[in-house]
Amino acid sequence: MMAHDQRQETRTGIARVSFATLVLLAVGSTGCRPVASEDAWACQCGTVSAITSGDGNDTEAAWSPDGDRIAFQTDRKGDLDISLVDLKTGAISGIAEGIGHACYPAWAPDGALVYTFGYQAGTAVEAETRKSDSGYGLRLFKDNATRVLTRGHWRDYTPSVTPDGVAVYYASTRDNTENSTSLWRLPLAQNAVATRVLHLDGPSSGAVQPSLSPNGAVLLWNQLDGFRSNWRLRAARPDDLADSIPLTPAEMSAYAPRWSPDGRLIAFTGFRGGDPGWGIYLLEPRSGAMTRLKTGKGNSRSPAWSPDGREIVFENNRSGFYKLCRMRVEPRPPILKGPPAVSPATSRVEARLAVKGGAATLVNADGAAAPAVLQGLVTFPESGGLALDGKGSATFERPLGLDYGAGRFFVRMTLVVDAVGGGPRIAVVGQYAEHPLGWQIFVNDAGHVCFSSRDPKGLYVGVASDTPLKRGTAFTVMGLRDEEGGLRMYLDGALQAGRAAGATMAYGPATKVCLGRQGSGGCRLRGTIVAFETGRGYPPGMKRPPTREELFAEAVR
Amino acid sequence: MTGLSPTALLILMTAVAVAAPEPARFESAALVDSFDFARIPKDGQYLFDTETPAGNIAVLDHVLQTGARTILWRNCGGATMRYRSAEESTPRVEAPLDKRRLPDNRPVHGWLRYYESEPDILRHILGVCHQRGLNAGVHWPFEETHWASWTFGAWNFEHPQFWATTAQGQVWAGRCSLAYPEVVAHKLRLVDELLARGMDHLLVDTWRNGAWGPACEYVRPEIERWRKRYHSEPPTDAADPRWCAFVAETTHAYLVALRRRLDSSGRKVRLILGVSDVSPLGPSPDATLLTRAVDWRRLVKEGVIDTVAIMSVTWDRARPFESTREIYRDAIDFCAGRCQVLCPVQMYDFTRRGIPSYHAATKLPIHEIPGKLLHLAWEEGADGICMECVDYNNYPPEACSEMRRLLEGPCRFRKERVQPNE
Repeated sequence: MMAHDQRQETRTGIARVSFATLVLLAVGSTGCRPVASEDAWACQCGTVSAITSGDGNDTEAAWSPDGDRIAFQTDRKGDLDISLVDLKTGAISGIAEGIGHACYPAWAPDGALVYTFGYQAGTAVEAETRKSDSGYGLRLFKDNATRVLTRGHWRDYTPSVTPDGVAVYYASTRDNTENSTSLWRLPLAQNAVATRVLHLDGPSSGAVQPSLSPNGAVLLWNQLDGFRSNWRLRAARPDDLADSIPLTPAEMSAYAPRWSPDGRLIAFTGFRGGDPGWGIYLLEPRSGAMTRLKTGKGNSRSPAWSPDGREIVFENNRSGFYKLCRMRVEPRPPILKGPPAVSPATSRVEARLAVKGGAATLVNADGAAAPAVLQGLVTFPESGGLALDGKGSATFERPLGLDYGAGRFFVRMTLVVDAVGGGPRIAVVGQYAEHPLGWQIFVNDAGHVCFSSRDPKGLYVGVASDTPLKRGTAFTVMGLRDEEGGLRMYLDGALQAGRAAGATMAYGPATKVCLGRQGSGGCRLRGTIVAFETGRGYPPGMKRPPTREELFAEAVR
Repeated sequence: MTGLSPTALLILMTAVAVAAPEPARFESAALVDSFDFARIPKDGQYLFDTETPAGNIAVLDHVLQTGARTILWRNCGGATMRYRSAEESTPRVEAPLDKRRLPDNRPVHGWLRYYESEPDILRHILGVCHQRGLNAGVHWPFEETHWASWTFGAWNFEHPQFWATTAQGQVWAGRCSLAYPEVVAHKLRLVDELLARGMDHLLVDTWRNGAWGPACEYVRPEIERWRKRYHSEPPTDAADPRWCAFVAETTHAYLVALRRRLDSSGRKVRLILGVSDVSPLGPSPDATLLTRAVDWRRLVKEGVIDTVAIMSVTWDRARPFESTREIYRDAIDFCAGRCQVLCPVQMYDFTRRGIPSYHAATKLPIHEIPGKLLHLAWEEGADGICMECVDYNNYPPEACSEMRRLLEGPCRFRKERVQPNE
């Protein structure tokens, strides 16, 4: 059976076995625990065997391209060092040892190792006072020589080298202001400059452990989007990381993703309710089907594939320390039938502000216009829109079409704000039976523009602009709530770094839309609302991101 | 004249003095978080290097300007211990060495390593407090997750099987559930670490719950316990008072276990419970029960705690000090004869009932309000005040002077209460 449909693909000396071969190997096997609702998964696991032993934690394994060695980090001498274990002899040799932490090894196709190194001498005050290089930077170990790739008073970590060996992706706190990380890319050529490819910033958001699919078509990482959220795997085209797709459910904690050598499966560390602890999961990304591997007692984490895709190395703590283990896997994910389904687009503008002849109306998707109830002093400048003096407002009663349910919607406005401070200043609020402040665009005390939605219990979920707005200058803000309850914001077309999750309130019919104030009358705006529209799906002119089926078809193309 | 000779009079006076118990001092307790002092700039330098013994002594000296004699030093930021903890040491608690922890990027704050400082900074500062004759204690958040995820603990990350879970089945790394005996045992081992460092007073602060609450307690043991008792599924509305009271039984059991652990230490260690949003006491469940699943009134009645530290009260904005007085009186009457009461002097304004809010409601200068609240607490017969929190100069120097004057003068000793039934 092994001979059927087997094709050998050689890249940089690595023998890769096709996904089809793995499927054939797995016939009749059901060794792994299928997730209850996805019983099409089957996977036969071999025996778990230890690779390392003794005191100290050996973690973050990475299998060498030639399949003969595994790089890992170890704390057996106190701080973290990088070591190699020879899989034929079991001999362990040090690569980066001594003072400081050397961690997160990642192989390049040519056998070089990229890793993170950090050493903070003295106290934080001492480090800050002397602005020293006490952060975590990347290093390249090749031909027994070490080259510093990045350094600074920040943290660069979880690197992965692109399959063509040209660049390294990694997570970094560089230029972030809060407790967050962004994704960066650095070409490995001498004197190359690193660029930030995904900017996330905020009190509880970050992206970690990026890696490119074997064919370079899809970038995969894990991301945290908010205080009450879990780590989730996400993926996107490398040239458009803003439109990423969550791959794991919000109810689950998932991190440390690794592509299978053929790009068809993802192994990761996961935990979902009822599990005995951390485990190794396999994910078929197009369908979302997952299975948890049986790895025995203890936590199992940080899987990495062998180059031939037949084994997984991971860390397990059944001995009291995390030690490296290996296990054969013969996965048989659900077989997708037919071409990938593409969700029909359901985007349309449901309500749009129209100002003409000294009157304001809200025009719905059918073209019907409903008049505004104006309060206070509202004027209609020649340049367009509604000018509000801090007491004026426009209200639209029972606007149609804004019953977004739990689906995706957007709110887009062009504004000029003349005053900031004294509490939030509301540009628009959608009022619902579910919550009187269902969604909003407002300016906070610090002058940041904010977009908010709600969780099912009505708790506030919001994102803010990266910088304060410029008073007296027109800008366009667009807030987007996606089907997963994620929020993001664009300011003058630029995606802002803040992310939020959990905004899964299901909206029934709107009871009111207020421009320039809250429904209760407070928090008034002083400025001009030049334009306003809201609708379901994506706003006009915004590219629809790929579906997971489309995206992962590209990963194996 | 009494006809007694001066010698006899002296002997008589001495005898009276020996016989009469010394009046109890009116207590002033300060919550101190060295982290908040870590980034105070001055002339291009930083005033306090809080990873060093000298830096923490400087913090203590600053705190003592308020007149506080009970120092409750913060032991952790979230579940990251601010001392060399064996219980919370692996996996390494430093971001980014555990990739599930998002690093704190703020200058100084993001690079602190209290868990590695030598000497152990908690042991050191509690020792300094002892040397100076101060009450040395710990301010321990009930649970604190300021941010996901650098404040999440190592033990927590190692035991996802004990994580909190919502009614919708979402697991959350923010807290492990006390419904699991393993989690209680872990907490008690942390208490052992605090005891070993010389803690004589432990304030468990239920205000700082890290967004945990009954909504996060849909874990297997609690669901099974509910089913067994009521033969039905738990209510999905986590604000259902029945569910909150039910979960409170578990937290109650934990606090009873904590009390026993302190008692078994062989020395008297005071257990203080911090509660917030205290309203006039009535038959309805209070905010701490509904949002923190902690039934503090039951803990008082059963003698589990030595002291209630009221962190905030929900005073009436139309009658700020009058309504504050009424709530103080209510709580003091409730606790009378059963446990001590510390009343709030709260510069923090998270609850919108702190000193800035008194200022907004009364237009009194900020620096006058701490002294006024202190005096009000004393007048009502409280055992003392609890200052939440003392940071660098957040209690203005004039306020500190006034508090010291009161604490050394008219409010030096606790005012004897007139019991409501007398």
